[in-house]
This record gives sequence, structure tokens and C-alpha cells, in this order.
Amino acid sequence: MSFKDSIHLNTKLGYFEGEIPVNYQYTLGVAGNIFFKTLMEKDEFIASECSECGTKTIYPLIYCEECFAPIEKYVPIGLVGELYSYTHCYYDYQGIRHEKPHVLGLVRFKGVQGGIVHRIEVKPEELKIGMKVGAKLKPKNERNGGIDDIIHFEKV
Amino acid sequence: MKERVGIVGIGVTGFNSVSPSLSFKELTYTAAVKAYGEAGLHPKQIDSFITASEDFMEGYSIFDEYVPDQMGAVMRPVHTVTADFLQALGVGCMMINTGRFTTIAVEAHSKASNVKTLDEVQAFALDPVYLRPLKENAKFVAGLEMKCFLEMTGNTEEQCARVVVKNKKNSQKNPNAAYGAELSVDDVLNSEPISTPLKRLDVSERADGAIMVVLASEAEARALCKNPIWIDGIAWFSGNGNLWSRNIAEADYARLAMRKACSMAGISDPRKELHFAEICDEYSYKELQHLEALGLARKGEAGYLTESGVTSLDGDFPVNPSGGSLGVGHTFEASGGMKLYEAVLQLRNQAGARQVKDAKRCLVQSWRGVPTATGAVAILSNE
Repeated sequence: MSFKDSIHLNTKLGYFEGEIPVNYQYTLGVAGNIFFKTLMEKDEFIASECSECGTKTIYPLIYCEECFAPIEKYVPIGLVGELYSYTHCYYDYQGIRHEKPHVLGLVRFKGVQGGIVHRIEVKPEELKIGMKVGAKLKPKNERNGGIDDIIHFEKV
Repeated sequence: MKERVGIVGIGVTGFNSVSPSLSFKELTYTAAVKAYGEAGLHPKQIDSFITASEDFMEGYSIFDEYVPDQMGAVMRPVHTVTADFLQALGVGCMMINTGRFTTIAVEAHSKASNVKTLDEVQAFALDPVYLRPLKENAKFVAGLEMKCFLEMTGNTEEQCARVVVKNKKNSQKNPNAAYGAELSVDDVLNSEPISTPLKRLDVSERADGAIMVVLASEAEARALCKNPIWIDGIAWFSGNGNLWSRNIAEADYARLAMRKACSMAGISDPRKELHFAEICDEYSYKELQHLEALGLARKGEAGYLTESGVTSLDGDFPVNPSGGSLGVGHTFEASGGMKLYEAVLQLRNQAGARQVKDAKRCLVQSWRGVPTATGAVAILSNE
């Protein structure tokens, strides 16, 4: 049933090169705009709050993931959360090895569903699931309304 | 299930790390000829055709336009499911259960060796606003999950390494496997870190290959085939697509799909009523995480079951006798198909040196890989 090619390079036999350059503009939407505008202007993360079931969600949504009700209420939740998980990532998105691994973590916030995945800058000996971390933001005049307005999360 | 659906023909091409001598269409054609031959059907006698594929992995927009000819399905009803093969198989079962279709062919393939920028294709599946700007390798998602899963369940990196050793060993007995090897636990633990605690040998390597299955209604299956393999239950679920909102420690999709598939198949104690399982092991920890989500191990027990040999080929409940994705190779949307093929061989008593004794009923499970939270479960039997 099996086949085992004795030639191990695609380029040894007939092939044709192809590429698909793709570029997009991803709309942030109502909730995304509120999140990034508040982060830019007020140094705060915003969660959406469902008026039907009370669930708070970050990143904010205009609908509730739990009960599917429409949401119009947005509440500030500060910049400090808890490190839920982390990883030392050795490669970038193109498969090129970092000179030094980057620490990425999932930060969750008390009483809020969801979280933020971002870079974590903590001394190796202090890095621990459950530790309190806070977002360090770029100076106001350098923010442009994207996730990179957060430089990283650090110990608080 | 309303009515059981029978597998009356199956064929694969592969699996191999590369396939320079065959185009993707030729891989599929080769598998299709075998499957139709087993079923004793010409494609013109098959009512409808389904393929499972993902445009970016194929390198085409609207890839489904490029699938009919190699299946003998020009001028026939064809559609594509952008999901794992098992989900396409589930669609085929539902079509037969409508009573409007008697036979359905389901196909999936991997020509991953065609993709020159696989890391970028995978990173392009990350959320463009909240994750992609971090410019990290998509495997960081597996690293985050693995760390959280091990921390919350008490399973260990060493036990994950044992999954790799077991599966690569099993695949040495599988002539269709591309990545069989005799490894030690230390080989795995000392391999290069990718996204901690995930290491190079915890990650399955890409493979090429194609699978084609011919399904038939229960009555038609009995007419066409002496020993059809029956699909007693099949289901799929999606967890939360937003990584930051998801339960990253547990595989909710697998738990829910298992509950539904078992209910369709009338199974109340899967560990006792099933004889082996082919489950997703794209990364070593996923086999342990899936075992627990599927209810085949208690929380925190999957690593111990591996360590103590329960899931070995000669254990009480063999898991991935094929060698899984770690041993056979990762075939992307064809992964569920690769595992289904093994299940069919085992249930037909055709698995040669890796035959599981008295295998009558089993489970096949798939996951769509990072960054997804979607997976499927199928329960198969030979009686």
C-alpha cells in the first residue's frame, strides 16, 4: 500500500514555483475600537459586560459568548492580571530561530472570562503560573491602537 | 445513529515525508482506484463525493474546483468540507442517513511538502488583531497548552516523551509510516526546545499522502461487501476559537464529541466496550490530553497509563497502534483519515505485525491542530 520515494527533494523532478501575495485590512469593529481607544487614551483594559447573565469578557465583544445577548456595557478592569500559562518560544512566525527565546503568556483577570496573550518580561527564577503581572504600555504618543501598544507584562 | 453506515472500500497512498514523483491529484487518484476496487464500484456508480481540504495548505483559492477529475467525479455532485477528514466522513454519513444517497466517496490528502512557508501558513491562522502582531511561531499555542495541561493534571514531560517513544516504535511495524524510530525517553527530553515544554521530538513531522473511503447505506454495504466496517457513531464539536477565552488545559471538543458519538453508538463504558483507539497525537501531550478528555483515562492518569504500558501495542488498551502522527507523519486535514485507515485494517484483522488481538470495536479521533479547538470522534465496529 505504501510508496516510498527514492528522491527526497521536490526540486529533483518537475515542479513549478508559485506564491500568493495576500494583504488585508482587518476591521476592528465596535468592541475592538472601544478596547484600543480606551487603552490608548486611558491606560486601561476594557471588558464587555452582559446585562443578562453578568459575564464579563476580554477581549470585549458586542455579544455574550455565554447567553448570546447583545452587549452595550463596557467596564474597565485595570492592567493587572494573573499568569495562567506561559511558554519560552524559540522560533518566529517564519520559522527563524530567535537569538534568545521570547516568553509568551496567557494573562487572565479576576472575575473576567477570556484574557490577553502577550510577551512576558519576568526574571526566570520568578516566572510562575499564578503570579501577578501588569501590562507595561508604550508612551502615549507612540501608541497606534493595536496590540503592540502593550510592550509586555511584568511582575507587579 | 438513525442507520449505521458501512465502509465498503478504502485506499491510501503514502505516507511519506515527500512525494516528488506524484502530484496531489495523482496521490488521490492512486488512493481512489484502490478504494473503488475494494468496493467493486466505478465512480459513476457513486452518488456523491466529498473532499476535506484547506485552501492555504493546497496553495489554491477555491481549491474545491480542483478535486473532481482525480476522483472520477467530473459532471457529478462534489463538495468540499474545510475541516478534518472525519468531519467530512460525518457529513457523508448524514447524507446517507437522509435516504437520498446510497453511496458516498470521501477523500482527503496532504501534499504538505509542496508548502515552502509552512510556518507562515500556520501563523496566518492566528487571530490577525490580537495574536498575529506578536510575530511568534504558531507552535507557541501548543507550548502554552502543554504547560497548562501538565501543571493542572500532574502529567509530566517524561510521560509525554514516553508517548513519542511508544508511537515511533509502533510505526516501525507500519509499512505506511514515514517516521518510525527506536528512541529513548532521554532522546526526546534532550531534543531542541521549540516552545517550552514542547521539544522537537514532541512534534509530529509533516507527511504526504491521500485517503479515499467509499461509504454505503447498511443495506447496500451488506450487498456490496462481505465484511463492511460499520460507523456506529460520529460527531464533532468546536470549543472557543478565541485562544484567550478557551479552556487550554482540557480538550473540550474531544469530550463533547465523544459523549455524542458514544450515545449514537450505544456505548456507556468506552474503556471496556472499545478495544483500541487511534487518537490525535500531533504533539505528544495531545495524546494524553485527548485520552483524558475522551474519558479513556481519569484526569492526571493518562501519563501513568502510558508509562505502565496499558496503551502500548501489547497493553490492555492500545493507543495509536499505527504509530499515530508522531510515527506515521502529520497529514493535516487528512489526519483523521490516516487514523481511520488504521482502524479499518485492525478491524479487518489486516494490520500484520501490529495487529491488536480480537479487535472488534474502536474509536478514531481527530483535532484540527493549532490554533484550533475543533475535533471529531468516530466509533467503528466489525460486527
